[in-house]
Amino acid sequence: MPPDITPNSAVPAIELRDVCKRFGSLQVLDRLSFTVPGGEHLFLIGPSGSGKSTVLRMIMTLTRPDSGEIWINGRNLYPVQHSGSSHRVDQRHLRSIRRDVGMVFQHFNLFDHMRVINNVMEGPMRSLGLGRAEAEKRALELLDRVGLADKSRAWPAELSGGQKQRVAIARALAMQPKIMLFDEITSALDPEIAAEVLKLVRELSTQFSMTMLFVTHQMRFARTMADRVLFFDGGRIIEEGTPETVLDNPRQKRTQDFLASLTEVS
Amino acid sequence: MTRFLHMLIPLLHGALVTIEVTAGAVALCIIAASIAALARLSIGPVTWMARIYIELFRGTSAMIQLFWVFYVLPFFHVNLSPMLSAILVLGLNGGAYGAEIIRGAVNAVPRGQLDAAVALNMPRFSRIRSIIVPQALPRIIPPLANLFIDILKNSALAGLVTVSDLTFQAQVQRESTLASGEVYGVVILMYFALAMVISLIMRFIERRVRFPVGSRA
Amino acid sequence: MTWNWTFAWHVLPTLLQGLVVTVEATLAGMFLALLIGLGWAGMLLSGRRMLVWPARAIVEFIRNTPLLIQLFFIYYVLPQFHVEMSALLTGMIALGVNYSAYTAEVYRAGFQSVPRGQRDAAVALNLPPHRAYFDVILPQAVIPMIPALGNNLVAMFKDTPLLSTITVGEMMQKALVIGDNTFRYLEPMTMVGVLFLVVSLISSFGISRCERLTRRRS
Repeated sequence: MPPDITPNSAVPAIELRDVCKRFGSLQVLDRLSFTVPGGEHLFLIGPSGSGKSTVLRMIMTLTRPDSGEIWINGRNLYPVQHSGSSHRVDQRHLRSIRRDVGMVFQHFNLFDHMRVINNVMEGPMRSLGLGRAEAEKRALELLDRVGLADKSRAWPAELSGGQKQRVAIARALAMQPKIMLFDEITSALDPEIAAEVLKLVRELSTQFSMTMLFVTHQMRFARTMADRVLFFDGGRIIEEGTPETVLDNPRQKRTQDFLASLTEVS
Repeated sequence: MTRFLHMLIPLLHGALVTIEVTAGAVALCIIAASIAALARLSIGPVTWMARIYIELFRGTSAMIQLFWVFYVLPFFHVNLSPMLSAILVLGLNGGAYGAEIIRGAVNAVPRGQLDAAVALNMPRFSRIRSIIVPQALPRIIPPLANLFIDILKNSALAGLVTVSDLTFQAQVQRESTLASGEVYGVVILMYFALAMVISLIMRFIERRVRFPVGSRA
Repeated sequence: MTWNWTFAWHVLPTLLQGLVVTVEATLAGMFLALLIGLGWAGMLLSGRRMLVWPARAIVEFIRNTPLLIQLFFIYYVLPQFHVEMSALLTGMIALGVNYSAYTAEVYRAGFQSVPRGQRDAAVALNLPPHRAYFDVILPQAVIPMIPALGNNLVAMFKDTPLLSTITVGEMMQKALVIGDNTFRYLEPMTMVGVLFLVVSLISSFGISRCERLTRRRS
């Protein structure tokens, strides 16, 4: 089992400073700044297209900001380079920071050409340099933990959506990250299956002390899990606070409307 | 019957030469296609060089390219043997088509697969070797089988520039035996058989690289 | 040896005469391919084993043997059965038969690309079969065929130099004759290559535009 990580409270786990991002004519993020202390469970909510997922993808280095800074555990992802071509990303620098960050995706993104066990072994072997035996041992433990020990030899195509997401969670945990990003991990699942996956995540959150960022539309889950909630709209944070303040007594009209529309659906 | 055997032996010799030309061209094709595809997928001037190579070879036929090499290059004091000319032209011609096949397959690897590889902090080389290549291969092999059969079929052109392949031997036998029907009947069946061999080999390889794909969300 | 513009200009009219023959052969060959291919596609889509299997065998055989040998076969073997044709006509027939295997595939793919739901909807509207066919199925099947057939046309155009091997006076043949007479192959051969390159690049560009247009409709 991965050792518990004591978060260093002096340095924030994540810090965004004036981050901007455009996709064509669409301003996805507009001078966004926020700080996440180590060990916090932070929820990013808001209407689709409000930039929440882009924030997670940026922290995972899957999307680059147009401007602004992103700091992970006190290190800047894209420091200004003084030599020559500044737009070239230093891959080695990114890799050394990325070591502490893991991500679970909406569409699972399991490697279709690998069996379940190899999906979980791949990261530890290729990026942590673990030996095959050690990686396999760790993978089997984690698959057992997510309740899929019997599926270790299956192909991703043979699994249900819920099973795929459990494997994806095991795969991310195998890297023993200090920060975990959950990007709408239940949006592609049926409601009952979604509830089971969320139950698993809740259990894991008590077992592994990690900084966790969630983008989700599951408000009940947010209420019970969140230390803090950020409400996004149009690429900005328009409201933030504890789940009680933001979800139960929202001050902004936009937040009220959004929460009301969610209850209508469910 | 003996007449038939007398005809068959030179044709079989020709078939061996056809196999040689095709095998050489296929090997060159794989190398050229991989390099050109890599260049097309990267940025900078190499992309343009690859594009020019691909358009040049796809815009004219293998016959024109082969005749140009055979008739025009000697004027520039470049003297390649007919065999080498044929392998070179067929290989580079196939490579231009192969490059586009590889490029298409690499671009068709779902974005999420690469996202996951980044999220697992895999180094760039590992991402290519253990994610992109195995995912692209099942898409590459079937069109590549057709491409290799095209190379086999184009290898018949080698006979026109004095390589003593199956087509060349067929001409010789037709002129000496005047039994055009038998000669070309046998030759066309030989080409068909060779094409089926290529098809079988590629299907075997395809089975080795295939993996089950469900619905990709 | 360097490029001689005077000589190039001098031989250009002869090559252009050859280009006319090249275009003639391509158009006639394509006409035959469209027609014969329709026959194969009809057999392939008939669902009757007695028709499907022969069509499949013929199409596979044509696709897996060299056009050059098919051409020689027709040119040298048919006269033995007292079928006498001009070289050009032989060439057109060889091109037509060879490409019919590819056009058949285009037809088949076109018809099978029409979603099942379209037929269901036509039935649900109680359309008479011929109405369903001509108003619903056919228009949707034909659109994706157009760029694919265009690609076949360009491919056939590029294959016409093969006809020079049976003495058809198309562009390649003209270039070879000029070369044999003057011992200068550089200009005629290069010009033939450039002419082919220009024509196929322009057509490929047109086809990919057309492809994008037809894709937008679906």
